[in-house]
Amino acid sequence: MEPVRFLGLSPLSWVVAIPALTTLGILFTPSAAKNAVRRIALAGMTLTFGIAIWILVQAAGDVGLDASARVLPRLAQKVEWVRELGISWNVGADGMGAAMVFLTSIVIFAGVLVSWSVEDRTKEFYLSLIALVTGVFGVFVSRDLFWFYFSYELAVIPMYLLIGIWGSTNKEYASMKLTLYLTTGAVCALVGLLMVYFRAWAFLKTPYPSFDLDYILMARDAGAFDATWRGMDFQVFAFPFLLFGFGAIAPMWPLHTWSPMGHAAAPSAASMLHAGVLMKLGSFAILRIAVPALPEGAVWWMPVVAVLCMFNILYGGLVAIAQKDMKFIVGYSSSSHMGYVLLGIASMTSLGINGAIFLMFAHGVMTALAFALIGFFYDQTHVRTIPDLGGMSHQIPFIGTAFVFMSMASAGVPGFANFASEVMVMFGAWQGGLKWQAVVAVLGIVPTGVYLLRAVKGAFFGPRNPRWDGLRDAVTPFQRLPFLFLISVLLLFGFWPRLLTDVIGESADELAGLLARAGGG
Amino acid sequence: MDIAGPFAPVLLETLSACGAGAVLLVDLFTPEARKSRVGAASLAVTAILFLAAWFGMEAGGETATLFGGSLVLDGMAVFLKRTFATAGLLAVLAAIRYEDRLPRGRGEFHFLLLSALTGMFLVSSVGDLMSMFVSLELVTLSFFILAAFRRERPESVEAGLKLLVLGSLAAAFVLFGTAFLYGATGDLTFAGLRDHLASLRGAPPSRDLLLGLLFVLLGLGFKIGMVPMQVWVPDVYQGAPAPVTAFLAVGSKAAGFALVLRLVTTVAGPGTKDSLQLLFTALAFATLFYGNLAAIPQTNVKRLLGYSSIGHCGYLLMGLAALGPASYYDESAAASGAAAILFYLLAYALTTFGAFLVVILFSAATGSDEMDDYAGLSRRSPLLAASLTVALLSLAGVPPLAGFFGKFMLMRSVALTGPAGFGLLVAGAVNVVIGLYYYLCLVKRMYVHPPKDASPLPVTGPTAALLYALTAALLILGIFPGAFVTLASDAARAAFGVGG
Amino acid sequence: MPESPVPPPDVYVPLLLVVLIAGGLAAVLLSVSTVVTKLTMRRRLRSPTRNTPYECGLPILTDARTRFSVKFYIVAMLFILFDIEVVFLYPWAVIYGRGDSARGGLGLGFLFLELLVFLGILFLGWLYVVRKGVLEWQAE
Repeated sequence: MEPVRFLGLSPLSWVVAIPALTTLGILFTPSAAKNAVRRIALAGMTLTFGIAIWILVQAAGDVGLDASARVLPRLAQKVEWVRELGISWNVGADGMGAAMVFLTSIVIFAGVLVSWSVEDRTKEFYLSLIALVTGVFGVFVSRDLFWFYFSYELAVIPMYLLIGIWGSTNKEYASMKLTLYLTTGAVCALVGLLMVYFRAWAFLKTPYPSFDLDYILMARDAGAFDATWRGMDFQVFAFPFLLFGFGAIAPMWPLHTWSPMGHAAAPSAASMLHAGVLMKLGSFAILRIAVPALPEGAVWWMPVVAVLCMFNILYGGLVAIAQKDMKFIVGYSSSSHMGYVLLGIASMTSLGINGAIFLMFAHGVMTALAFALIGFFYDQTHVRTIPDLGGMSHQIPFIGTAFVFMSMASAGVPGFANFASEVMVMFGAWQGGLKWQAVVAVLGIVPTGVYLLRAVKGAFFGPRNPRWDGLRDAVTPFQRLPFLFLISVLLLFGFWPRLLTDVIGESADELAGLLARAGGG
Repeated sequence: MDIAGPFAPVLLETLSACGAGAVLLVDLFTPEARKSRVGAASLAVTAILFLAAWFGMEAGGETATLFGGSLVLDGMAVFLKRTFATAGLLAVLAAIRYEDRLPRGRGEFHFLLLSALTGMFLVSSVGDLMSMFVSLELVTLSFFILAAFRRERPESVEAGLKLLVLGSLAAAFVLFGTAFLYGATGDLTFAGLRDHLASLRGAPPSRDLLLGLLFVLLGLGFKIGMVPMQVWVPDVYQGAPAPVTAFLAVGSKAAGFALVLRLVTTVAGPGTKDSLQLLFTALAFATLFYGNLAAIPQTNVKRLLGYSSIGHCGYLLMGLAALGPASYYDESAAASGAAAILFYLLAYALTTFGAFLVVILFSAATGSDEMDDYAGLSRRSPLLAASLTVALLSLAGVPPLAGFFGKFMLMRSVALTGPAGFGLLVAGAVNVVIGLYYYLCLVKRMYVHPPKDASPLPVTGPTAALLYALTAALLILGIFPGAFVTLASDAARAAFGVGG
Repeated sequence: MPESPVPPPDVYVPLLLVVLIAGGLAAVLLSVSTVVTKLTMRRRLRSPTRNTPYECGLPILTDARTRFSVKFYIVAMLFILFDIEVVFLYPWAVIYGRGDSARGGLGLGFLFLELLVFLGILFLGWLYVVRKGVLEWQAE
């Protein structure tokens, strides 16, 4: 099995290295050369996008093959970093990781494009944006607990700057709240990670400990996490640290309050990344680390998640109906959609988990589109409360049309990726015995329809409003590119979900199998 | 490379003492118009010391002793000397940017910086209680004068006086404790103390010995800003000239921790470990929460950094609380705590100077240290704002910066040690969030708030290069910590006598 | 038998004797003088002349508590500093004279070198004093 390397680094390492190098490149560009900054960012992200597609294609090609013939394992790379602490630069991908890397590269590519109009401190803006995405990529490819945590924290602080500096509406409060919530979650998860790490070391008794995920899984198989710890089942004790630590960013009710506020305050590209990708880190981390390392803890705690996610779905949806600010509507709707993701995970079935990951992808693209569109007109109107808007499809028909597409996707109209994934989640929940939750989840679609239709009608339809006569539509192909790009991704995977579900399927099967064994034993 | 042979334990001390004398001579024979030569001479001395420390000393060599065991050179001493040499170089670089504001006595200012540095070098390799006291006082006496150096400002005089009065009290504690230790063991050397404890074969030591130890530790607690010996910190930090504050924050704290580490590695054993762990856990708790909570309402940058330095002392104490009860990873827990402290001190030195350099430059340009005057700094000088932000985030412990890795090591080491350690781990985690809050409040002022006075603050070429270099150092230490962690771990393992 | 760190108490007996003799002498002289005065001079015990510090010599012109030039104090302090530092030469001389090279085992040459270093530091201090103009009385 020959490793795939390019200039000594695996493509997965490059996925992190290119944004990091882009950040450096921007750092050494003079602040006055704004266009150079934008071009460097775009070039870097295009390259990353290319690699992400390549990885996804390899992942799709691997489906059903023998372990020896696969390409993805050959992408893994491990370099010792700090021997005494057992830290190594360790990247690897499975279907789930490949899908998330792909999602991130889509969103940041579109994000760089829609931020082209940022004129205030452009260099600092792109610096924060690309630094953030470096962290996000790091989380998705990392197989070392230290680098996982490192990247996870790395993604939080640039978000503070992005919202604090370039944001709107109550930005100081929102950015501080977001940062403190996410950091609290992160340090809580760190406590859990350290517990797992030392437990594994104490059990395996190797000369040095190791943050390597495979080492942790090896310890799990050897029974390191089975013992009781001071009268408590270790897994049951340790799991909530990871669950709620990572759950804060997911965002799991009742830890979600930072999220709509953060969405509303953030500038377009930051909202896109934030809702599109950052929120996925939580669910991803639960699936990548918490569940594999502590499956019995997961089985114990998942019923709790299944209840909490109901609050996400219903509470998020109902609050969204009451909102007037467009970004708050999308923000609460995100929190509601994340409830579906958590429901899929809590179902502990392959179908549900597969649907959850697929929904993370679909929702990421959809919500990025939503924030890009809102950002596009908000830059000109400086208003985004529904009563002030209205009839804008007369002036900006392209944006209006795209917004309708987005709303259809979000409401789960067949033909969009969201529909396929939500259906998978609901079926998965039913299959996993969460019957009344599945019913509530189906009913949860109703408020979604209500608030989206209200938003579409209130903002874009109705009589022509002369106040908005000066609005400029997206006319040049360059301006339209990000929106068309995101819509086509949604439609592509909506009509052909197997492109992605097959790739994710094996990861989901593995997780579901693990949980089934843990539940059975 | 070892360039000093048997005199390696006094190489840096000799060089810096001679350098201090040379700086004084340069000052005496330089006409008033060319006083910038003094700074250049001082810079040359510290640059030589820096090179000698990092490239002229062997880190993994045998433990060398000199003067009948008064001075010891082991891995820990070498690591600490490197930290001090780095801090000294940065202190002089900062002082050069400050000295135009000194009404008199440039030569004396640099001389005292160097004599404090000499004391720090001695502190890192003391082998008995008497030379510990003398070298510690060399550091402290230099700082008494330095803190009060701008005697035309009442705050500076206040700082010097507080440091003098409370520092003397702390010195009395150390001496009192030393007397008890001598009475209990009949020996002043650390080696003798160790032998005495070993001869007890795990039985608890006498009450006199524990009392003496407690007094010495409390006296040293003054230097590191540990609760309950922390009251002087905010006033002195605010009042002293900024380069002195930076050097005090780094040097005095590191010197104190060097001695605490020496003492703890000497006395930690089966009979004392539980009480030491309990003591340090309680102190770390109190210090963490006191420093970080009291930092929240501050409005003056230097005072904020003063309280935050108390908080950082709390983090460092976590490393000492890692003296765990018996378990599989027993010995290595203590060693990993010590290694974390060593690494953290180095990271803290770089970070603190990064922050204070901006404070110096800012107050040189505007005459203010108030946080509200930092509003809109990112528009007035993007470089200053970015450098300060990076330093503050490193203090807060955000990746990919040096402070993050330091905190990670400390929290990791304390997580090894059972329920008390677990509680401390959670406390440390909570304090990361508190710390992030007040550091971000300053970042917010620089980036979010509009400037009151929009005039740009230009930064000259060499200063900009220095700021870039410090930022790069923070990044390198945060992303590629491996080599430094190895040095620190080897030193700590040797000090605790853990093999492999 | 290992050497005890604390010397036996009888070492301090001579010191005690010195203290006792000094105190006793003062007490005896003072009481004798008082008794003799009481006996011989019954009247006019207090007069301005008698209250002067010295009953002979020149008449006193002014009060002793006036301001002196700060130079006096500085010179006095410098004298004390250098005086005390020179005291350190005595123990050095004793050890050097014994030819004692056992402690540290570095030899007489090293001891001499140490003295030179010490004197060098003193010289630096003296140079500092001179160059700073502390000893110049003419200047303003």
